Amino acid sequence: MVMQSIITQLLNGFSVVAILVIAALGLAIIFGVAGVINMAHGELIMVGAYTAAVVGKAGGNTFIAMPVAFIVVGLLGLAIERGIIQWIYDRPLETLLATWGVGIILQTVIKLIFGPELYYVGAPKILRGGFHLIGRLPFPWYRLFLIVVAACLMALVFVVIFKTNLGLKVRAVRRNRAISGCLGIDTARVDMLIFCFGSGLAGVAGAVLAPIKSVSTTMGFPYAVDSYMVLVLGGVGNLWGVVAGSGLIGEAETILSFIFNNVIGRLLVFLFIVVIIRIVPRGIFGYSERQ
Amino acid sequence: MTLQVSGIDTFYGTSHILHQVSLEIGEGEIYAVLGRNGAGKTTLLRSITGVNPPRNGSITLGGVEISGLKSHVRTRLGLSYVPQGREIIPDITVAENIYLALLGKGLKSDKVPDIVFDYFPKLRELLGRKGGVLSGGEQQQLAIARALVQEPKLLLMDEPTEGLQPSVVEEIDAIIKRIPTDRKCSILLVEQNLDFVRSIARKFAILDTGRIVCQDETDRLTDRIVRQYLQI
Repeated sequence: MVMQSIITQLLNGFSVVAILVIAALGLAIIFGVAGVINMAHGELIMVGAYTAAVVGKAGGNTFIAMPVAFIVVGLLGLAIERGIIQWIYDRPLETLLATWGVGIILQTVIKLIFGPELYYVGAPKILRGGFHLIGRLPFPWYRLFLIVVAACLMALVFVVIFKTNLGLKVRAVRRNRAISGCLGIDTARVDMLIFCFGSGLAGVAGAVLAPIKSVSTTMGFPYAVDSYMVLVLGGVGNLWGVVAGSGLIGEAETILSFIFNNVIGRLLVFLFIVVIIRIVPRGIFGYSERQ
Repeated sequence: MTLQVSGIDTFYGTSHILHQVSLEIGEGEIYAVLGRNGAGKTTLLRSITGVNPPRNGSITLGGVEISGLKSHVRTRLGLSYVPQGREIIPDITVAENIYLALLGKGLKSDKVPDIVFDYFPKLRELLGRKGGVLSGGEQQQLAIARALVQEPKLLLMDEPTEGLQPSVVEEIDAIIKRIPTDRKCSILLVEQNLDFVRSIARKFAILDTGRIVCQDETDRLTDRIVRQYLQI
């Protein structure tokens, strides 16, 4: 019985880890490459969720909503980058304030369009219900789907970053912007594309998270907070850091919440993060190589 | 004329670093810029590359005004830069550093060009290693190779032998001497080693607190000038 409970919590933890990975990936890319503290990340997730709601009303499902949200929110990110961020890249405080303002504007505009009521997005029929893993332990199909999506998005990002010319430019710009420019790399274009791609990933996050949470204009904020926790713990600018940060936070929070309760579990996770970054200030996957 | 710099003023914030600096470099010429630490030599190169663009004045490359252009456009027009301290991208491989330079120039290639191994045979065995784990000499070879694959009209080199052991310095010096004739490009060289400058450069300019105080042919770089402007 005890063993079954532990396994159940570990599996629940995996799905929480998957949610964290999905939510944090877009932020990790934008923060890690362009150096922008994107305070509108939660709102980009929210727009992705509303996109899923619209697709749902039009008769589509999550599978259709994912690419649609990627395109819609990616284009929104492109507009934000071209309209505002490109002028203030070198000023961290201004980018922070500007993206915060963008977040407020997005919340207001969405509220004006869709109204203050909550929207509910159902999971695709094929992903409703659950199955039994070991013995009689139930596990929902949608949670398994989230784990698969997280793995696929990580794989997509790894391919883009490590197997494409754009990825090579991205890695160079992230490490040395000035020299990348001197090597002929159009760093402004790389920033623009990465902001667009990261925003698109946030949109996908919103689309797949919509069925597990009521869709509202404020739904993105907790995900944004979790995403920043993942980045701080895992280390900025390293994709393995997203996996490590999500893994530690997701499993720790699930298990601690089971042992104590949600509030104490959350509190202990915050304490855990403080202790870890006290020991490794640059996060678990911080850099340390010969320059 | 390959490069013509006319009356540029460069600032870091409110600090005025370069004052009305002018110089000209002809085709296939090696031109040395000398000066004490903090004289503005690196700032001059960064002004030409566009990393720290001047506030006024003119810079032309092959007759094209480049002072208002971004760094990557200047590179595509024929400028390549070997920066002080090499500045190799540390977490990508030697091969990827080369591919990056090719991409930056708009040249696509699936293999490292032979020119890299013609100049630096040792890089062949280091292709898969990360730039950040190379020794200083190996990084300098990579920095020069990275610039050469871009087929530059003008190569800017900022203290290419700084901090290297003597045997490596000799090797790098020999290669720099070959470049103008082999590659048909000019070199603007910032260098502290006066013997090397005398042996390689046709003209020199001395910067002192951001101003050019002496500009001539290197056979007129006398001990008096050295004592007056370069010794501490």
